[in-house]
Amino acid sequence: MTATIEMRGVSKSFKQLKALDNVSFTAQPGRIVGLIGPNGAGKTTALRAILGLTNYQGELKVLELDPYTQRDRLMQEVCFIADVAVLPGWMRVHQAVQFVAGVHPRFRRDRAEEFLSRTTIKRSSRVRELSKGMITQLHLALVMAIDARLLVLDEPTLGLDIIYRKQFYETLLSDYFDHERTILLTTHQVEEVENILTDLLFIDRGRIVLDSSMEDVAANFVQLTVNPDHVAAAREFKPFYEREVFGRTVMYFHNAAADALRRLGEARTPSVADLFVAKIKGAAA
Amino acid sequence: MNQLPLLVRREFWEHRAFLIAPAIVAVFWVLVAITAGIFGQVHVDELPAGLMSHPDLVEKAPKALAVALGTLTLPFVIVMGVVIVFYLLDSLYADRRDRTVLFWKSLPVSDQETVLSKLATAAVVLPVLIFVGALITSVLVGLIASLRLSWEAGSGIWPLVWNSGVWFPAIALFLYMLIVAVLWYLPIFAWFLLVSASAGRAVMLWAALPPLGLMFVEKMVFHTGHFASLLADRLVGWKDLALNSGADGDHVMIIDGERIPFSSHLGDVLDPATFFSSTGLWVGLIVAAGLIWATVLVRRHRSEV
Repeated sequence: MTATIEMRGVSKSFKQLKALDNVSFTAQPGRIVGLIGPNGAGKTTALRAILGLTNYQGELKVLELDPYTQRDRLMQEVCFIADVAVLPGWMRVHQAVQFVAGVHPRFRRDRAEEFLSRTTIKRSSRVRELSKGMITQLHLALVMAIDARLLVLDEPTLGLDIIYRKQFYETLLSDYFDHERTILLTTHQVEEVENILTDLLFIDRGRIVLDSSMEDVAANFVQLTVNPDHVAAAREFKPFYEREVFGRTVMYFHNAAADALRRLGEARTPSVADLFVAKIKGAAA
Repeated sequence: MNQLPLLVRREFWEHRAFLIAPAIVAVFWVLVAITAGIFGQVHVDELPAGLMSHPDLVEKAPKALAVALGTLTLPFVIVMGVVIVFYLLDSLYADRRDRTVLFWKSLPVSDQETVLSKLATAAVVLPVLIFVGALITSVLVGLIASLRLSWEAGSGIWPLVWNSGVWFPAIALFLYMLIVAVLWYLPIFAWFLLVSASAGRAVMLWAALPPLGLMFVEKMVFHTGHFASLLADRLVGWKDLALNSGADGDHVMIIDGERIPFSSHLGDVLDPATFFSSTGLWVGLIVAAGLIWATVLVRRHRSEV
């Protein structure tokens, strides 16, 4: 099966700043990839390049198309939600449905109507009259009615109530996702998506610092809360990062002998958020 | 799949002024006609025999009718002209400012189609709307006037209002002038689109400053005013080319102090040969094409303010 996204040595600079510095990765069908990084790390630039919104140096194919020059063709099979604020306020709900139905060959109107009928959104309302949660539901109804192969979500739940946030991902998983589609998402709320991701991409200062499936994370990374008298022994295994939590040392290991480590303290698979901090800070140190 | 009709419809959804502005002008004229009908002094007890063939009436009535039609039309042109300018400056800027551009760009519509749909709206659809609006209003006002007159003097007076020898040439002249003016102004339209696609803010300023600056610099450095006269020609030059001002017709419309001739013999007035063979038109069209091409490139690259 061909990869959905194939990035090879992609770079993009804004004056002095290198937003993307020789970035390479691939995303396969049937995966949910979390692109995670601190502010200004290059997440948005990477998404922009993938969506054909910006030019770049290097090689990039999305669904075997060149995004920058073939954006209109690419968008027949790619959907994206940048954030919930981007639906035009003057548009009426029925106009939004009619417009997308008219320009999108893969849009199934009956599906959109069905999603909408589960909400309290009135067809004659203008977008600016809807609450933020309703706008998300509308946007989601439009996007999920499109039979796309790649869905890109850039901070999709920013500014949403916690109820809508949970609902957002649940709907996405149960009604949309299948083994032929790829979802690429960025978020600050890592805990929220931890359980649905299949792959992790950490990006920092324009570089990929981790590219791993969740299975590999579980197999290869260990977070060890070290017993106070074994700190020196644990350091022998070369942790890539360590920190103090309530007076105890927590160390992070990559490809270390897990059995040996278990004798030195409490070992477990790090959460995505912890692993992220360890990776970014460990790289900086 | 041809998306253009839907893209143009989208413009009408967003800009309700497209329909409201001409509707207001139409309602204004109809109200003026009704008010004049109610309060105007018309005292004709009965149509005197031979009046309709009286030389004074035969000579003056068509002229008065032509003046009336020209007067009815002018506010449509002015109001919609303003609407078109504001629309063009806003069309590729507003969605970048409120970030909805990210939604539009998430749909399979090319930047080329987007830009062309805005141009088509301003250069084709809105002028058609001016034409239709003015025509419908003229017919309505004509109906009100002839009803009022026949109330006093019977239907014998109708031919004065519904003189086809005036109506048809007037309509043809108006249509011709619209087409000619749009073609002549196309580089200005395209310039506004380019500014709208590129400006970070203060679109209006960006539209006006470069030409003014160029004029200023030329004046300071070379002490000449070629660019200024070029601009002036771009604003009013089409009338000399497209209309035969020496024609032996009556002047019924005045635009920018210049009299637009009218004659029921259209051939005396229209001069399409000179207009369509003029260098000014074709240079303008080439410049417009270049600016549109640049606008598409800028639109592809700039998604943000």
